[in-house]
Amino acid sequence: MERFIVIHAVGSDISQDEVWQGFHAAATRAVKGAKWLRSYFLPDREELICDWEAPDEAAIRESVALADADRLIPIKEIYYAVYAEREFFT
Amino acid sequence: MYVLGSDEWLRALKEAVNSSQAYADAAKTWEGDFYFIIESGGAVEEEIVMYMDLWHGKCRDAFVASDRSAKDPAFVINAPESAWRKVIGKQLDPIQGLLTRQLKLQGDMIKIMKAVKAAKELVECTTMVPTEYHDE
Repeated sequence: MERFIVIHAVGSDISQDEVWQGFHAAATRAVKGAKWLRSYFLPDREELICDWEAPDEAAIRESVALADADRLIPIKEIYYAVYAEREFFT
Repeated sequence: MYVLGSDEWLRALKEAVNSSQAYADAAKTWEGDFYFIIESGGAVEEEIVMYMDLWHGKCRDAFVASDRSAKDPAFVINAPESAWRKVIGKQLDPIQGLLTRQLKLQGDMIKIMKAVKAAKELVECTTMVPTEYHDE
C-alpha cells in the first residue's frame, strides 16, 4: 500500500460537530482500500496535513468526498510520499 | 483554596491571566468571549456559568453568571467537572478535549484551533489558581 500526504485548506466557521463528523467518517468510512492514519493541524498556516495509506490518490479523494470534508476543508494538494519512522532506527 | 467556578476562583483566574506575559504574547490577537460551563451532576447541583471576556491577551471581564442569559458570548464550552479537572490537571489537552467532544463547544471550532497556544497558556493560568473541587 502506498502513502500519501494530503493538504487541506482550513477556513473558518466550522463547528465542533462538523470537525468530529469529518474525522469520524475518515476513520470509519474510507473506501477502496484507503485508510486515514493521522492529521496535523498547522495553526500558523491554516492547513490540515493528513497522512493516508491508499492504493492510489483516487481512493483518497473519494473517501474525503464521502466524509464531506472536501466541502469544509478543500484539498489543496496530494503528494505521493515515502515515510520513515522511529521504529526503523531503534 | 478556591472552589472551581466560585466568584473567588474566577477572580483569581482573571488576575492570573492578566499577570501572565506568556498568555499576553500567545493571545495578543485573540478577540472573543466565552462561557465556560460546569455541567450539573455529581456534587455540582446546578450548572455553573463562568463568563470571561478575553481580548488581545487580557481578560477584560470575568464573572459567574446567574444563568446563560446574562451574555451572548462567541463561544460556549461546557463539560462536567471531571473533564474540567482533567484539563486543569493537564491530563487532558484542551484541543484534544474539543476534538473528542469531552469538552462540548458552541462556536467556531477552527478559530479555537488556530489559537492553540493561547488555549494552552490559559490552561497554564488555571494551574496558578489553588483549586478545590466540589467532590472534595
